[in-house]
Amino acid sequence: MTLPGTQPPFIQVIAVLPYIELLVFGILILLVSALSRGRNLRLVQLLTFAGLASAAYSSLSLWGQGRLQFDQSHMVVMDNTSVYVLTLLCIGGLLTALTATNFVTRQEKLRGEFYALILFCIIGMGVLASTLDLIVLFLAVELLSIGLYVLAGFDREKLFSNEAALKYFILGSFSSAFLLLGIALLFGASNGTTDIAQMLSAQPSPYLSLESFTVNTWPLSTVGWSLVLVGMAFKMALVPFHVWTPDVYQGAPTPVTAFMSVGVKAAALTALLRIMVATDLFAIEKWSTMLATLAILTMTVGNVIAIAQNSLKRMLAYSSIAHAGYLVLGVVAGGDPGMVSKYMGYQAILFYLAAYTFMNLGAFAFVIYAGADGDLSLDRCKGLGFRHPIPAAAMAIFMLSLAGIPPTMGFLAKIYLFQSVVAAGDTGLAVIAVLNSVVAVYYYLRVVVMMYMHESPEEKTVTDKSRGLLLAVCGCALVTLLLGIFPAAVIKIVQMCS
Amino acid sequence: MIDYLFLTILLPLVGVLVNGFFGARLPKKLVAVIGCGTVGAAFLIGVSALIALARLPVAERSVELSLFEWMAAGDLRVHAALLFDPLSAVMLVVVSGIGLLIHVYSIGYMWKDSGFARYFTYLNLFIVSMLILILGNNFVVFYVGWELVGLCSYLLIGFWFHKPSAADAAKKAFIVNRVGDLGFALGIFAIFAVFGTVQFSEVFHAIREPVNGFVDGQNLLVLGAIAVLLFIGAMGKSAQIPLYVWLPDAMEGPTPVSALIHAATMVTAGVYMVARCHVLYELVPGVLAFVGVIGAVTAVLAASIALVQHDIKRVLAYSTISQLGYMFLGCGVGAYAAAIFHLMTHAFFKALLFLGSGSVIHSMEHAIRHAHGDADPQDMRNMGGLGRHMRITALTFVVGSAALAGVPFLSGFYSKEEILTSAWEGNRLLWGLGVAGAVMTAFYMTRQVLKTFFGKFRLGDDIEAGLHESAAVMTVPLLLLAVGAVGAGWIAKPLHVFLSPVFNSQEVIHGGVEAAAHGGGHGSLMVIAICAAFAGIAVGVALYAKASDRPTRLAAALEPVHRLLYNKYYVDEIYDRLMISQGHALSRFLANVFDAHFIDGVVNGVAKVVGGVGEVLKKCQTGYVRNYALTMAAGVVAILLYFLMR
Repeated sequence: MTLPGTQPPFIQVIAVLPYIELLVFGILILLVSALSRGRNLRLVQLLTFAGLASAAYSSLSLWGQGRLQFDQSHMVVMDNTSVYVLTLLCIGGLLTALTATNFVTRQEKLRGEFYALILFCIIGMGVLASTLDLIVLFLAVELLSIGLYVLAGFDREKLFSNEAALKYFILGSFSSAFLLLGIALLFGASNGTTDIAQMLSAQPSPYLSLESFTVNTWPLSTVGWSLVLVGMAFKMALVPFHVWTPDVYQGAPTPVTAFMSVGVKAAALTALLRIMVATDLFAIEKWSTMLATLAILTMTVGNVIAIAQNSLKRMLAYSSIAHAGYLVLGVVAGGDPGMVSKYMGYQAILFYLAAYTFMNLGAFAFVIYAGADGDLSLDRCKGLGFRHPIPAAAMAIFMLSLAGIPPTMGFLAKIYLFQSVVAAGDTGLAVIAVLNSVVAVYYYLRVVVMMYMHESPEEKTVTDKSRGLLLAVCGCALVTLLLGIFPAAVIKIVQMCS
Repeated sequence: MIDYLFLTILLPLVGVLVNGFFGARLPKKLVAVIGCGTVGAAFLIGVSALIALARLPVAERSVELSLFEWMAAGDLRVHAALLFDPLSAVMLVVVSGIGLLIHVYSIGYMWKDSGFARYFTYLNLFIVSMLILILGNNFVVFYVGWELVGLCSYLLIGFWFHKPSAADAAKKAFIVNRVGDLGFALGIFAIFAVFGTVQFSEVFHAIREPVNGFVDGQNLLVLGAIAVLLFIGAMGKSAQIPLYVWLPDAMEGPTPVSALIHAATMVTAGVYMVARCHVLYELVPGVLAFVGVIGAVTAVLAASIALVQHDIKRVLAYSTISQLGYMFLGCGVGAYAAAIFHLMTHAFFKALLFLGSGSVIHSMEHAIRHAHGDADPQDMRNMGGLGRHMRITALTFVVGSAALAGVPFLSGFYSKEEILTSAWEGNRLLWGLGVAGAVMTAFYMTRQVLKTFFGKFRLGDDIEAGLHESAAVMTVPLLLLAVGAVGAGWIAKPLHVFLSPVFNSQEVIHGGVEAAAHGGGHGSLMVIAICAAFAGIAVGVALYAKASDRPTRLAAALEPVHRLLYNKYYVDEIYDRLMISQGHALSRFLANVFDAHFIDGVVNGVAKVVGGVGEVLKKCQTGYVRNYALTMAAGVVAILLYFLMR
């Protein structure tokens, strides 16, 4: 309500309503689990699902409303892209919660906290995906990181889990330092603004130079942006800032690995997309060259090392590095606003994120199923196709989809992505990406071969048979397949995002 | 009712899913009820949709229903959409109606088979696929149906896959069809490349009312190429020369399958396609003539092979090829409505004949097994006099044969006569071939009826004692089909009037129908057709009415001809020599030499290199945080240097 003549502070709570809901439910979960001393797992799970559902619902109700802002700054921006990514994150959180039941039950203490941390992480990821302000970006990165540090070490009895948490924390702090330094430099270079959208138009600080500010000529801002890029690259696990990934992914509890491989990537890439659109940074040739170099390195290193892995978790860690490389290609393609490929790259990334959420979470869910939360070596996959036909079939679908073979969602995601790269005129880059996918087929199909073409060893595998987990595996497989055959709806949604 | 048309596809699909996933655990009766019930419902919806369509004003009788956008890639937008016009309406009712009867018949025929549920799953899937093919409103959906019916055909020919001959026949059908499908797919690509759309109405509109004088010489060449490519697909699916060789072998499948897929419905898909694309074919008369010639030659050639075969189903198979030839002959001379009419009547009497032969085989098999014999239950030389034991089967079979032979006032007479009349107006030579084929048709059907149902049983009394009429679940469909085989010809005039907006041509109505319905205008042609039919029958009766050595003497007198026909012109052998053994030699070379040494060498070499690099890089992952931090710092320095140096 606005009274005539008065100027109330412009605040739209509705733009941050999903985050508030997640926060409230997270705190509720903490309270419930504290009061019931961690025994009331059912209720906690129910609260988690309710929190995720209500956040997804209220974010979906903002669909198609244009760009909503929390206040007049660009601290939190709710547009179709934010809604899309946040919904995807909620789905990811839901699937994680479904897969984690047995893992959480095994923990003696600290049960509800697991779910609360997931919700808090989603807040961080969601805000990261919907901010145009560097300070909020930093806060969001910290919010999701701190949650993930704890989650990575959630299996307190296990040495590996502790190691993973510590490594992630130390290296994460290291990269945060770069990110913060970059933000500080940009703040100085742009005469005191942290608003990404205003950075280009801002007058440079009089203490630094009399020249007008452009990204191209101004070394201070160049250094600033590169350090911000480094911070984001760490979160996305781009080579050479990926070194933490294999150890952390392998050491962390599998549901957590699944969650972070999907969620952080989605959030950080969306943030990169926003920087791309707001600053046209990657339209500058040396920036797009840098990005392309990172992409090539990331894809190649990820795929090549994945071949040499025997642990499925570690293989999927390297595979997720490789996928980060593919995704960055979309930013390269979409970077130039003068090209037709601008929207194609943007849309391709968003489509890819959806595909990746389902196929990667599904693959990790299968690792939980067949590995009973321990690790799953390739040898132990032998004969699973006959002993556990339905989950194994689902896993085969995930592997085919990750490898980019029709009729799966992963295939279409790759097609759209590579198409955008070709449309941007970087045919060479597309060729490298396709060659990389060929290499990747080897280690994905090896899993299928192990499952279906080898006799099973004598001992029986212990499986995690919680109902939620099976639901997650089958649901992901179904979505991967169905949206691979009937992608029109997702494409239409993605087109409305850009 | 038209709005609910998608149910005709959806309901049988539900049947596929239920029977496919749970059929093995459900009681057989329930499986049968689900299988037949869903198809029956589809038939009822189809009929009421047809009635609803007929009530619309003529100009509005073409309804497009978009279900959802299926895919969009660049300029290519494909909707999963249905087209319901008189042509697809007639096809829908024929396919679902005959499909229903054959489903019911199958309950009896397949009851003792261990794959009962699997059989009904496939059969329902076939109905789904065929309806997708018929109802699709664009070439891509059409192609999906086209491939799916091919798949069902493969699955059902190889239904008894433990029999090597059945497995081989299934493979043969699939591979030969692939040749045609390649042409068909190329045709669709070309259509998209030229017109930028794959939707029937848009493509035909672009052809009919060309923008900027589209139809000039060069573009006609492109259109011609498209028409030929599409027709290559039709040659495969509808078993025309030179791609007909799979159809006789397809008789390895269960007999109701032969009736449904390889006689009444699937094999007519090519005819339907040409009729659907008639706008395209009319623009390129050369291709149309080619269609007609292929049809006429196939009609005669296949009929001549059928003259001397001994396997009861094989005769019918060649007869089917021959009749499909007639339909293409009709298309080739522009009588699309006549071709569709013949498609419909043929569906009735050929399904009837196949089901009748199935009833015979069923009974023979039972009797032979009962007497511990090992005679071939399909060989007509082992039959004779079955009419005494199987009255309904015999009666209906005779009716079907008479309809096929072209006995006046039965359905086949009207439709064949119409095609021949149109051929007379189009090209006298084609007409001549058609008449020759008609004589042969009448002869081989007479021969088959006499050898099977009349005279004395040739395998002795103890087997004869085991012969019996089939159960009502099998004979009732026979009777219903017999009614169709008799009466389907009488609706010629309303059918043509109904179809005329699709084909948009007045000639057909004036020419064929009038002639067939009233006998006016082309009376002499009709007399010739009747004479042809009776000539064939007369020769057949003369040779086979009484047990004599006349047929053998005749065969001996015409030894070279007989051997040529009996061995089917050695076409299989020629294909084997020309293509298959060459193909084997090439694959052996590729497999043993090229693949083993060259490809594997390259692949293994690359794999070894990549794997080795992976192992080396893996070692860089030391596990020490200090090393990791150093790597990252080096990365930062490299990036900063890169930017500051430039």
